[in-house]
Amino acid sequence: MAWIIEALKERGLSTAMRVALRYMLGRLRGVDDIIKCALCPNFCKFNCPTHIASGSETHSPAGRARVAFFIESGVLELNPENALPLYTCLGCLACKAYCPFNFSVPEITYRLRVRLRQANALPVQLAQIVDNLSRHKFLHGPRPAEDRIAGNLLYIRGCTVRQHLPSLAEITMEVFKRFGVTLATHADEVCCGFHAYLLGAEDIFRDLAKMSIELLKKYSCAITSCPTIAYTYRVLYPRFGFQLPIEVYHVTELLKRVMSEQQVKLREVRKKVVVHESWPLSRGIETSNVMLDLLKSIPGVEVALPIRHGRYVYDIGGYCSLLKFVNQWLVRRIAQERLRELSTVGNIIVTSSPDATIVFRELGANVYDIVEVMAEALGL
Amino acid sequence: MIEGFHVGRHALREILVRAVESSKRIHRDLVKLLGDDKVSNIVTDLAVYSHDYTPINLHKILNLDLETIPCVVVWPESVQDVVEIVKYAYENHVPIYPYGGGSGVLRGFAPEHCGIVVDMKRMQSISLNEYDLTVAADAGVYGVILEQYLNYKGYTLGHIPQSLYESTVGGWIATRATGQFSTKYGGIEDLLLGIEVVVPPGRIVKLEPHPRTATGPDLRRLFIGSEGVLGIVTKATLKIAQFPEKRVKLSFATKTFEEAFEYTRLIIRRGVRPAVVRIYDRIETLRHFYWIRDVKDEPITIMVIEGPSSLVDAEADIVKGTFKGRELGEEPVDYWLRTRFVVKEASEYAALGFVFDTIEVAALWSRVVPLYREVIEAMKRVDGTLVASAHASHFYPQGACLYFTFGGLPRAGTTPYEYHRKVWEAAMDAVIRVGGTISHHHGVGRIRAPWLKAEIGDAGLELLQKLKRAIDDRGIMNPGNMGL
Repeated sequence: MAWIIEALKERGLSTAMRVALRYMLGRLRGVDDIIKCALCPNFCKFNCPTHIASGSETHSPAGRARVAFFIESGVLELNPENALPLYTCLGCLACKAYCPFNFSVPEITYRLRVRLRQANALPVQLAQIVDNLSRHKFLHGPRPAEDRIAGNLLYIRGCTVRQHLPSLAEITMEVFKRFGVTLATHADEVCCGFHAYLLGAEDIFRDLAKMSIELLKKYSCAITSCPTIAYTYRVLYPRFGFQLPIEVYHVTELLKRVMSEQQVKLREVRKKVVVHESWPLSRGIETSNVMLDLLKSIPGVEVALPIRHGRYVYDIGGYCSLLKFVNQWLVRRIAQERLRELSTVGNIIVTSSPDATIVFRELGANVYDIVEVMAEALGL
Repeated sequence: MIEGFHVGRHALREILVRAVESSKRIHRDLVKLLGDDKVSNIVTDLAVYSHDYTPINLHKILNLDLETIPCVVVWPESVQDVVEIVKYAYENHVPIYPYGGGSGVLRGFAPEHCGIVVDMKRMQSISLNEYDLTVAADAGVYGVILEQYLNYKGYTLGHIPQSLYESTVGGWIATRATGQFSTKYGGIEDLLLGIEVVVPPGRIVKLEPHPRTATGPDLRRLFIGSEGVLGIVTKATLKIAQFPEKRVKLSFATKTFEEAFEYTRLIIRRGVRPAVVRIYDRIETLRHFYWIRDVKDEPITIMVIEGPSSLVDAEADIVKGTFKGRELGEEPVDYWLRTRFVVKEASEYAALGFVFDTIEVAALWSRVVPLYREVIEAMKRVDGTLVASAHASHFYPQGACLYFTFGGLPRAGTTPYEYHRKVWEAAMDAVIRVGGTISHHHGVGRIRAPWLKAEIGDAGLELLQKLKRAIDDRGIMNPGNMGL
């Protein structure tokens, strides 16, 4: 402010007063975050996966904010077609990594998404998701029939692992068994609510959060295979007033801890791998180094990082976003772009995101979950 | 609902509806040519592609005064797609508005006559040739993605504009861009070796990269700074440099702005090429370096010298021996490096009703200081101006670029647009009077077009118009831009 005061000295008292008054009133009233974002030069957009894959300004952070502003100001009708850009956002916080205001599009447009749902203006492709979440508490429809497995630590597998990658859950349980940890699974496990948050379905989100917390209360500690669950529990729940009764870790965090405590001898795994991190771990709860440390601890594994990694990771959209349900073409393009980048560094991909594993495998990539690599190192 | 900004709500809604209505045939034809996923006339796309980042546009957005709405947006994925688009536009007399990152600040992009917006950002291939020290990049590649890739491989383009994160290779060429490190690496015109451009009626002009060529007038230069009025740049081959081995950061305080210029002039004329030299006037020193004690009335100069270690050391010795200011160490430079891409003020102040903009001009050494004084005074004289300041940001053996910033609060009864135009008029007239160039690196666009003739003369403008007509005989390429 010193420079403005200095400049105003030359302009006379009445001008200074006029400016000060305008400034103070403006500050008191506050500028809407959507407006600040809509007027921004969009320096974050090169980091936005949907923007890079589509090339479209409408799929850029400030582009989405402009659409939100046009809806809020009545230029664009409150209807599903106009609202679509808000649901193609992955919610991945890539914009936040470069934002001078520390904004993210999913956060600043949340209230509008709530309004859109209240106005029945959700894109038609998302109706099934709303129904699945409200009726079955599960992303993919009716929950799989499963027996409860007893154990001393709750294992929250996540909708996607339960539905599409059950083998990963089995391997995870085997790996922890080697460390003397018996994982418990529970048929009452429900969706974490991240999709409900993206949908602006706050009622459903709150229901799912309550049910999840009730389940957590039965255990002393919990882990999850799904990075999005780790983020939702640890970041979104507190934001909505839900306190976690116990610690919830991503599998990589607990693996690292038990390995450092138990000094297990690992077999050599001769692999040159490139790491694909997931946004909920790298930006959401900022633990992406954990997977790197784990990989580096396995003899024989050569680890390479792509250009975009850590806080600036270019993540992809699978079942852990709404994009998969509204625009499959864009999901593929985002994944292809990431694969192109990863392939310049290595041909074997390791990730801590089951969601990414599924999408990359659909595209024929050679991809392993970190737990699968660990299982190999343990001789399982 | 966001209240208070509804001046043009109904008018804008009307324009959007009309645009969608009138776009149906073009949309259908282009879908046939390119496929459904490369073409859109969805109302949200048309609204978003209504403007570039010209600062006065922020007020147009806020007041819903966006009258330039395109009919269709297309995203070509290959040079052949671009050919098809240009052919179609030529045959049907439909205007084309090329779009890179949308970071232009002079309304070089403004789809005034409905028309087709050609967003190049799906063309993103990069091909590095380490032996020849070149990189070929598609027009739609973001600067930051190219630079990150080159850094990863051990190189740099050395082209670092403040818009790096949101501008594209094609946009750089179209606007004759330059970067903050240009004193060492040069502007885009110094980096460009080869180019591929699609011109009406749909021909590909391909000029291969050579270290130098004497094959008549250089057609590459024809397209540098052509701002979309002649053709669409689809690919470029650029020079690269090895990533610098060493970087030295220096900063100084001087008693006066003029003193800092004089020391810099003496350094540059000796053949020293710091990558970055920036001299801030008193107001801008307070704005950017408010945290440094005891420099309230002393302009600050920052420098970055980089390259091979021994060369950097030698250059740093010359700089220290020549620049007689008070040394302030590395911290001011580090601060600038950390904050140079942080742009918050635009969003915050426009929403409070303040109008601001930047104007970059250049002049020979003998005219730089008079130019500074004249332009600052001219901007201050406009009723409503609160702040007028400058820094010098690019240096040459023969002169320098001055980068002015102005901010104001229009008086009651004056629209933001009127106030903005008056300041521009005052500044441009002052530049012409002193004998500077009206643009150093932002280009001409629609805002500077009225002063183009004053700079290049009647004959110059006539030649430019003839060139435009010869290449674009149906006037489909970005009509109205640069006044052409």
